[in-house]
Amino acid sequence: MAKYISLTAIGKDSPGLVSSITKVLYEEKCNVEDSTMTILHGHFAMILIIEISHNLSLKALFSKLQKAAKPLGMVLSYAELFSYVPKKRMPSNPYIISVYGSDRTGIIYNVSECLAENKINITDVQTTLSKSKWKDTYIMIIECDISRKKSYEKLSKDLLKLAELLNITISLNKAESADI
Amino acid sequence: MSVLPILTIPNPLLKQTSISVEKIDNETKLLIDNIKKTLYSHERCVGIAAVQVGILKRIIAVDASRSAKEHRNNGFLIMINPMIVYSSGKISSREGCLSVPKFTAYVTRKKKIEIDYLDINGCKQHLKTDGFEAIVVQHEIDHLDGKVFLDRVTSLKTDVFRR
Repeated sequence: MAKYISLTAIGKDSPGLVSSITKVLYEEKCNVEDSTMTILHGHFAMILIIEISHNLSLKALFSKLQKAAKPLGMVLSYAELFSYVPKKRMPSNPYIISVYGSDRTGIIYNVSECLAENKINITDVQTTLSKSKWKDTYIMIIECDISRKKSYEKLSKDLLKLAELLNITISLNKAESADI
Repeated sequence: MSVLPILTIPNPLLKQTSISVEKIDNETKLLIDNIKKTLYSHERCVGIAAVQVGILKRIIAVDASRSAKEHRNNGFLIMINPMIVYSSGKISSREGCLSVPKFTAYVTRKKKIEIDYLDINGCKQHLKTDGFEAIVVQHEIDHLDGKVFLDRVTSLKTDVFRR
């Protein structure tokens, strides 16, 4: 039976980070099931879900990964996923929430709390600061799953109230699904 | 003619609805000249709405020929009181905006549109367009209605690899 682990690696962005990690995974016959990798404020961050063969020692794998990551200044961590189901869950009714306004603390917290109270599941989040000469604007794009019509109506009302309270703009749009 | 500064979010003017132009007088013509100069002063700019330079008038400038990729286009266009009178299909693409610096996101818009508008001489015009140029026109008309592309984001990443 296969085992699954989560692996995170983060370090100052430079060429060769992805290959240094994936080289070890390839040599140890590990399978990358899912991943997200991006630059966050000059740091390259990798989060991977990896399938490893049962007879491979996790400790041995991790020490090889660390040996590869150290010269590049990357910090690694891993965890075994005991309840991993090797199947992607598609959001049944995906929506996109765009949030933007003057930068201030608590925007992520307030919006995510509103979603949690409405029992809305967040499936993806991206945040960024849009800098102009005069002002920094905080932008957050959330993908979430709104499965019931009732939840949509309540959520749009709650978000409207929240936007007013925080003096920010929040828009809710149905996500487009691909047809290819 | 002068290059005008561009308003960026969260400037409240960008959320206001612009007002129809009643008369194309010298002041309006000067504004149009300045919008044109401002558009061409930004290397990759393919469209500007008057509100982006702080004037709440229903005027947009479009030049889809300036895109890095080649698209069918009608070159430089000034549209006064533009109105989409027909639209069909859907197209999703990554958009950016001078008023939203350093950020792009996927937006779904109509693929084909037909627009009624006045040209700089006040003559009624009708334009059929599609693809990239249609996207630019819709993006600019949105500005006249107090919307930026962030209000219409429909995907976090590419539509193809939705997780």
